Parts: sequence; C-alpha cells; structure tokens
Amino acid sequence: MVESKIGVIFTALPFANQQGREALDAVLAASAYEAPLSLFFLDDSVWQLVKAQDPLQAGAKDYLSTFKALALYDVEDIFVSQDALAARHLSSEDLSIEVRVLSSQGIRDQLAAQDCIYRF
Amino acid sequence: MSTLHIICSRQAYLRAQGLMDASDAVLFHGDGCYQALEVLPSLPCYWVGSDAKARALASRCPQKVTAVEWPKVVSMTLVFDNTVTW
Repeated sequence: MVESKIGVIFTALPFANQQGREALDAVLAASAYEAPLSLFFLDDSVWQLVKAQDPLQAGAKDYLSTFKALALYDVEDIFVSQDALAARHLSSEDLSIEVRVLSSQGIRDQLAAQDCIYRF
Repeated sequence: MSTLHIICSRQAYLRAQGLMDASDAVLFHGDGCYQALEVLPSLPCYWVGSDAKARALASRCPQKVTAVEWPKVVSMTLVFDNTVTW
C-alpha cells in the first residue's frame, strides 16, 4: 500500500488525442497500489465527463464509460473546476458521475495537499 | 468568390476568423464542434451532426448552426468556389 497522495489532472478534450484514456489508465494502475487518489478535471477536460457521449460515432474507443466504474476502484475524490464548467455552460447535472465542484481556490488547496501530481 | 471554411479545432477557428468574407460559410467538424457553442461569425454555420452527437452536443446546438452529414458536406465542397480546411 502506498501512502503518498497522488493527484491526476485531466486537461484534454475527450477525442482529440489519447491523453484522457492515458490519464484514466494511470488512475487505474495507481489504484492497484491502494494509493490515495484525487482526480482533477480542469479546462476542456470537463467534456470528458459529460453524459450521453457516443465515442463510436467519432470512431473512437469508449473509455469514457470507465469513469462510471471509478467508485469500484475506491476512487471517490473527483474534483471539477467550477470555472471550467461555467465557461462551457455546463453544470454538475450534465456530468455522468458524481463529482465535487470546486472554485479555483478549492482546486489550489486540493492540489497543495497532493504529494505527487500527474498531468495529462 | 465564396469559401467554405472547415474548422476542426478552436485554434483552427481563431486562425480562420480574420479571413472570413461575407459570402463565406463555416463548417465545424470533430473537436471544432465545441467552438460552435461559442461566439460565431455572422455567416451560415454548419456542423457535422454525427461529430456533435458523439460529443453529446447535439442537444446544445445553437440556433444558427445547421446539422449536416458527410454526403451534404461533400456537396457543399462542390458548391463553394473554394474550400479551406484549417
């Protein structure tokens, strides 16, 4: 078991590249070590959590549905930037999983509490 | 001369914006569909419906954006004098 707190920052759009899927792979790998994990969705990455997406229509693999399984991996600290949602006219009701919406200060506080941060 | 500007990203839109003319039209596809949710030029605007659906944007379609599918996109490229993919 790893005691260091690991933060994973998502920043990319869902289908533009592999970053979102790679971030999720990193999260699932880290969860195998029972590390305390926190996920941060900033900027355009909030689109990764929007409900009712159909990756097959975009010719992409469906990694987005794996977000719904995060609770099974005991990944429950999922933070979303309030500013990122507001800038895209989204709210937490538009998202496919339960998250904690935080202000910029809240995000900064949570990031400061991490021992190790990966950004994708 | 009319030009169809094909936009595949927000950055592409920023590059194209200054070169759009009153007789032009804009087509958003792929990640360019996200840009169609923001400020748009006062030109005819289209997006690829399947790309918008993939991103769960279809229900958020702005009033001035028309959804089209690829056969229509092909016919549009034939109607316009020029097509520029940014």
